[in-house]
Amino acid sequence: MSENAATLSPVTRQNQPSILDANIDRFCYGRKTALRHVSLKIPKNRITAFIGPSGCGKSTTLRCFNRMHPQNRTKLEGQILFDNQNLYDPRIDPRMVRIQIGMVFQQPNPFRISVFDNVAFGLRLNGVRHNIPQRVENALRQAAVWDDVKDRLDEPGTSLSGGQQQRLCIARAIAVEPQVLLMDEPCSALDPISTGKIESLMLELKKRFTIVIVTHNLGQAVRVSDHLAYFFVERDKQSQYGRLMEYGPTEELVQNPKSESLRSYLAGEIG
Amino acid sequence: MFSSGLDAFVALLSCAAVIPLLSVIYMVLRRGAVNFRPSMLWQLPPAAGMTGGGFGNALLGTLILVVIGALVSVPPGVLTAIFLTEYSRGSRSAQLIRFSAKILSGLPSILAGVFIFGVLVMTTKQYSVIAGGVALGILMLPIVILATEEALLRVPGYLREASLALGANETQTVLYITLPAAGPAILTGVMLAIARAAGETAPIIFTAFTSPYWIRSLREPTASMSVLIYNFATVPYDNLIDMAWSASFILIMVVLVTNIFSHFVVNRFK
Repeated sequence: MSENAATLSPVTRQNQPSILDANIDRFCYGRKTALRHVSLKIPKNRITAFIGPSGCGKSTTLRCFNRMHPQNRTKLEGQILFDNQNLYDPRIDPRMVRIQIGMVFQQPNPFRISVFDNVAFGLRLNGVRHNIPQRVENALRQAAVWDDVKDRLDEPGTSLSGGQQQRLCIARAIAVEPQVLLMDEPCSALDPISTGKIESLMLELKKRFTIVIVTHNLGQAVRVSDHLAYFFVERDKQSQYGRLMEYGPTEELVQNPKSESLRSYLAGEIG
Repeated sequence: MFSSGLDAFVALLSCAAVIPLLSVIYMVLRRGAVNFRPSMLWQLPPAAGMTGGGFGNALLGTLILVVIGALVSVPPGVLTAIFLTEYSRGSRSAQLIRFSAKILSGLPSILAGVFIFGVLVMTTKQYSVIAGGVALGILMLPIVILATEEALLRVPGYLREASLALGANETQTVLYITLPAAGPAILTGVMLAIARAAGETAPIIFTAFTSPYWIRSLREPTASMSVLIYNFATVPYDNLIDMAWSASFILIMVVLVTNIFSHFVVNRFK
C-alpha cells in the first residue's frame, strides 16, 4: 500500500460549488473505529461514486451523510458541512437532515401499502396537505416509473417487479424534494435491464439533485459518475477501518491512479 | 431397509400422537353434538332433575370474561412488546421483562386464580365477572407479549430504515410501518391467547365463580362454559351430563370458529 496516497485532492476544478463538505477524522461504532480520515467535497448536481473493496467504509460514510447511524451507539469526530451548516451540530434534528438528504437502499424496500401511499408517505409525514396527487405523479414521472404504475396506484408497492420497486423507492425519496440523493448499491439486487434504466435515470436526476452512489460495480461507477472516491481497508495492529484513499474526477482517477491499491482495484485484482 | 423401517416407525408414532386428539373430538361430537338443541344457546340451565334448558348464561359469561381478559392483556402486552423490540432491544431491562414473560407463560392457571382471589375477591368480598376477566388477562398477557415480540422482530429492518430515511421519528415508524406490518401476526397471537383463556376453568372457579342466572352486572359472579362443564359433568342427572357434553361441543366450536376467523383476517391482510 503506498504511503503517498492522496486523501485530499482538488475537486472543484470545474468551479462546481460543493454541497457537502465532509471532514471525518474518526467514526466509531460502539468502541470500534469504522472510519478514519475521510475528507471530501461533494459537488452540487454531480454524481459522485464511492468504490472500493468490501469493508472499506463506503456505505458507512454514505450513511454519515444523512445521519442514518443509530445516534446512541455511534460517534463521529469531525464535521460534515451541508450548505455551511454542520450536520452533526447537537442542535440539528437528524430528521431534518434526512428530509434534505434522501436515501435509496440496496434492497428495494417499498412499504406494504399502495404505490400511491408509498410516495405520499414522506409528504404526509412532513405535513404536506395540498396537491398530494400532483406531487406523487411528479415524483413517479421523475423516477421514470409513472408509465409502469399509473394504472396500478392502488396496488401494494410490493406487487411491482424488482426494478419498478427500486424506481418507486427513488420516487418516494425524491417526493419530499431533497437536495441530495444517497444511493447505497441501488442496483445490486436488480437484473441488467433494470440496472440500465436506473443508470439513465440517475443521469437525468442529477439535473435536479446531487447524487452520491455506493457501488460494487466498477463499470457502473465509470459510466455514471463525475467524481470517484476510492476507499480502502486500513489495518493496524489492533483493528481495521476504512479510509478514503483517492478522490477526484472519474476520468482522471481511472486513467491515472496514484496509489498501487487503486491500480490493482481497477485491474480487477482486488474487490 | 433402515430408512423404510424408520419411516414406518415415524408414521406409527405420528398416528399415536393424533389418536388422543381425534378421540376427544369424536367423543365430544358423538355425545355433545347429538344431544345439542339450538335453544340451549339462549336458555338458562334447568333445576336439578328437570328436563330442557340450556347454557346461554354460561356462553355469554365466557364471551364477556374473554373480552375483559383481552381488554386487560392486549394493550399492555402489545405496548410491552413494542418497548422490548423498538426501544430497548437487547438492554438489561428488556432481558428482565422477556424473562418474566416467559416465567409467567408457565404459570399454573390455578395460581392466577388464587392470586386474583386474594387481590380482587377478598378485598371486594365478592366473586365477580371483573375478577374472572382479570385472572384470564393474566394468563393471556405473556402469550400476547411473546407473540407480539416475535411478530415485530419479523418485520424486516429495511422497512424501519426506509421510514427513518424519509424523516419519520421512531414513534411514527412504529405506528405507520412496523405495527401494520406485524398486525396479522399479532392478531394470530391474540386469538391464540383467547382460545386458551376460553377453556380455562381453575382460575374462573376462584374468581367469577358461577351463577344460575343471566349476567346483570360485572360486579357479580357469572356462569361460564368451562365451570358449567365441570359442575354438570359431576352430577348424577343425565340431562345435565348431556348438557355438559353439548357445552363442550359448543366451546370447541367457538374456539374453532375464532381460529378460522383469524386465519381469514390474516390472509386478507397478507
